[in-house]
Parts: sequence; C-alpha cells; structure tokens
Amino acid sequence: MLEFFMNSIAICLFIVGIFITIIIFVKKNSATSLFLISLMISCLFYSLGNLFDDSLKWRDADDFVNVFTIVLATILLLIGIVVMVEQKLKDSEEMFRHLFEDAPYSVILFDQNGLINNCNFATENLFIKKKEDFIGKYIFEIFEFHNLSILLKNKLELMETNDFKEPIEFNFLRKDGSKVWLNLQLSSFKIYNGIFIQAIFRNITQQKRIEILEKEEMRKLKALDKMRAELIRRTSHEFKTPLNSIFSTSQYLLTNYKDHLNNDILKLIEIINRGGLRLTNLTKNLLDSFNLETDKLKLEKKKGDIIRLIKECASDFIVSIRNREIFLKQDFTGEIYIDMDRNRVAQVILNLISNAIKNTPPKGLIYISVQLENNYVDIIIKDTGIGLTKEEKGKLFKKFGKIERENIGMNIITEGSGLGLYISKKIIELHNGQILVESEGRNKGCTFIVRMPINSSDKN
Amino acid sequence: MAEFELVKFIAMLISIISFVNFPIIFKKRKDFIKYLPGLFSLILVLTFSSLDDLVLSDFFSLLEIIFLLVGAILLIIAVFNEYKALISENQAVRKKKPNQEYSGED
Repeated sequence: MLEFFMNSIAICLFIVGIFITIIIFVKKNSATSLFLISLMISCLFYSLGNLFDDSLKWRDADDFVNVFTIVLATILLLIGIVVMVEQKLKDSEEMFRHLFEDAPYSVILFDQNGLINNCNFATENLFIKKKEDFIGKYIFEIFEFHNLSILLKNKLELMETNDFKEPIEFNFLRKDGSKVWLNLQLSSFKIYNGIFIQAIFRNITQQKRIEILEKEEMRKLKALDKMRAELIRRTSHEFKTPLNSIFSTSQYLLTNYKDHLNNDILKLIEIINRGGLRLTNLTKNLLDSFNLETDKLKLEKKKGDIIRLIKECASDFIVSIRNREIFLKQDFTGEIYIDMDRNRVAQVILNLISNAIKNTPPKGLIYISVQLENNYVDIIIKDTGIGLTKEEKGKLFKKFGKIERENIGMNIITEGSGLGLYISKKIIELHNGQILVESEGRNKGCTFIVRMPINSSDKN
Repeated sequence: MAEFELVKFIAMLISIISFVNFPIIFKKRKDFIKYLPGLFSLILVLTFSSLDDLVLSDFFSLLEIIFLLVGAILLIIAVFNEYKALISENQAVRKKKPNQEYSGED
C-alpha cells in the first residue's frame, strides 16, 4: 500500500515536472531542457512500470520496467554529455559575441537585400544611434544621403565576385551634426544558403585631419623650395655680370700688363683672378643646378666624336697637370660617335679630370681610357689619389655633397662647391647614361666610369 | 530472468559512469548544480533496482521507491526554481528596457 502511495505521488510529481520543463524548453530553447523533459518522461514511465508491477501485479510490467530502466540510465548518461557540449557551445558563442560586441570598430551585418541583422556597440557610438535604430532596417536608409551609390555599387560587386573590396573612404554627417570621415571595408560570408555582408566602419577623422595638414605643409614647403630656388637663380644671375667684369679684367691685367706690374700688385691681381674664377664657376654651377631641378636644362644633342672630346678636355689640363707633377696616361684611339650635347658632356669630363687632378698628390697617375661595349661606351677616369671611403661614396653625388678633406695631411686641393658631381650625374642621366664610382678605400685611388649609350650608326 | 538481470546490470553500470561524470561536468555548469541531488537519487534508484533481484529484495525495493519519490521531489524543486528564475529574469528585462537612456557619446 505504501509503495502504491509513493509511486502514485512520484507519478504526479513527474507529470507536473514534464509540464514545467516543457515551458522552460519553450522559453530557453536549450538542448539540456529537452533532455530534462526526456528524463521526466522516462521517470514517469519507470514509476508507472513499478506501480503496475509491484502494486497492481500486471504480468508484462517487468518488461516495461526493464526497458525504462535502461532508457533512464542512458538519459542520465547523455544529460551529462549534453550539458558539457552545450557549455562548450556557450563558451564559444560568448567568445565570438565578445569579439563582435567589443570590437573597436563598428561592425554591421546585413543580408543580400541590405536588411541589417546585427550591429555592435561601437556602431552605436560611431553613428550616435541606438542598436534598435539599425536592426530590421535597410543599410541604404542609414546612408540615405551619404555616398549611397558607392556603397550600393560596392555591395553589388561584392555579391558578384564574393571577394573583399578595396576600402571606401567617405564623409558622414552624424545625428548630432558632427562630420566624421569613415573608412568602410566590406566582406561577405555564407551561412547555409544565405549570403551575409559584414561592413566594418572605422573612424578616420583624425587620420584625415593629419593628412590634410600634411598636404598643407607639403604645399607650403614646395612654395618655400620654389622661392629658395628662385632666389638662388636670381642671385646667381645678378652675380654673373659683375663677376665676369672682375674676372675678365684681372685676366686682362695678368695677360697684357704682367711685365709692367710689380710682384706685390701681381700677387694681389692673381688672388682677385683666382677668386673671380671660383665665384664664376660657383654661379655657373648654381644656375645649372637650378635648371636641372626645374627641368629647364635642355640638351642640344648632336652626333659627335666622344674620343675627340676627351682629348680636347684632357689637353685643357696640361698646364695644371704639369704644375702638380702628375702623370697623365691616355688610352684610346679612333672615333666613337654618339648623340650628345657636346658642351655638357665636356663639362662632365672636365669636372671629373679636374677632380682627379685635385685629389691626386704629386707624382700620382691619372689614367683615362675608353671601352666600347655593345650598346654603350665607358669613359674611365682612374687616379692613384686619396680614394673614397664607403661613407664618402654615399654622399658623393648629392647636392652640396662636398667631402671635407682639409685635415687629411696630403698634398691635395680641397676647394670646390660640392655641386660638380651632382650636376655631372644629372647631365649624364639626361643622356640616358650613368656615372659609376669605384674605390677600394682611403689612399687606394678611385675610378669614375661615365657610361653613355651609343646608337647603331656609331663607327669606330 | 537472467536476461532481465543483465539489463538491470547494464543500467547500473551506466548509472555509475554518470555518477562519476556528474561532479566533473557540473563543476563548470553552476546553474545545473540544483539538478544534481535529484539525478543522484535517480542513480541510486537504478542501483537499488538491480540489487533487489540479487539480495534483500523487499528492502532494496522499498529503498528504490523511496529514492524515486525523493528524486521526483528534488527534481520538481530544481525545475520549479529554474522556472521561477526564468520568469523573474524576463520580468527584469521588461522593466529595465523603458528606463534605458542612451548617452550618445562617442
């Protein structure tokens, strides 16, 4: 009787339990709730089996109880597994939810039709709108007046190619009237048969401000640079005429009145002459440098014999080579015709030979040779001078990249503006050629190679 | 008879495995701890059910029914608690929503 009574109560309780768990399942929609319902049902049938077996003495009740014993045990085992799996899923969901919600960038998810499914917290902050204002609306409604066409175009392209697109940058007027620069990156992903688009918005207002400032500063710097270059050009130009007068007058005096002047006056005139020459060269170089920078230097190319030009240039230095007691060896014969601006190429060769003379101590050797390759000619000017260190090579062709060697303790000439090699390099580059420099280091001499292209009509 | 005993024995084995598993699993799911006493009672029910065929049939049979009732009560309490928590949670969300003010700060 007691067993019957207890079984009956248990059955009633399990029936109530089934109803409550069904309600919980409807509300929570979790797998564990479903298993709790199964557990309650199994318990109910188990109790019923017991009731029929023990109290009502039904013949087949034993089988019934046995079946539900094993069902109940299995459900008990499965509940544990389901709870564990559900927890893992919950953890994973939680992690991705945090990843989405706490992302520093605004993320909006919408479907193929542009219907917004979800957005994160950063979106609320960026657009100064509540989450509810986004969800269930179309993305075009949010950007009604803001580059809708670009967004739509991108979206459609994205659907066609199913690929990431280049980011779009656009200006957006927010609810509070403030304007922000936004960077939009779109990407798509597939869930079952539906394609979803993920729009990531980044506030780049600060970055844009910096960019605008940078542009403004660049514009100012360019204007300043232009002013500087113009100042140099005008000053050099204005210097040219009086300098020519000083230099040519002193030259005239030295040539025609040398015998009529006493030594002291002669020395003074020589100083004036040397200074005048240096200043004349400097103003010429400054003007050349300005013209090269502003692309105003136009070459007057004509076909000419480079061998003859080198010979003429070398002969200009016979006196200074003799004065410095340097040996000059020339190793070239024949004729090589190339397209060149004769005066400008001569300026380069003169500059290189002049540098070689200045940087080679007395008793040194300067060796000039010409090598003809398939498509170009190499003019090689080699000296046994003080050579170049690695650092010196780096700044050699830079504007005002003069290498200071005053305290080097060798008998070399250190004067110069630092513009000669810069101009030479630019001139050769205008001829589609290049200047190469080789040196093994200090006191090991150096070799300058002027490589210039030749055309098919060259003859040797 | 032997067939029935085997079934009950298997059920007992499965129950023992669940008995070992439960503390490990429910350690992570604190919200399911409330079901643990009820589930243990059911495991005991299955254990006594297989034992009553071997020894002290009446005693274990009585224990089986007692623990079935205890298990039913404990499970009902747990289920009712969860239901109550679910209802109160929903009410809290409904009450909170209209009061939420949006700051709108960037």
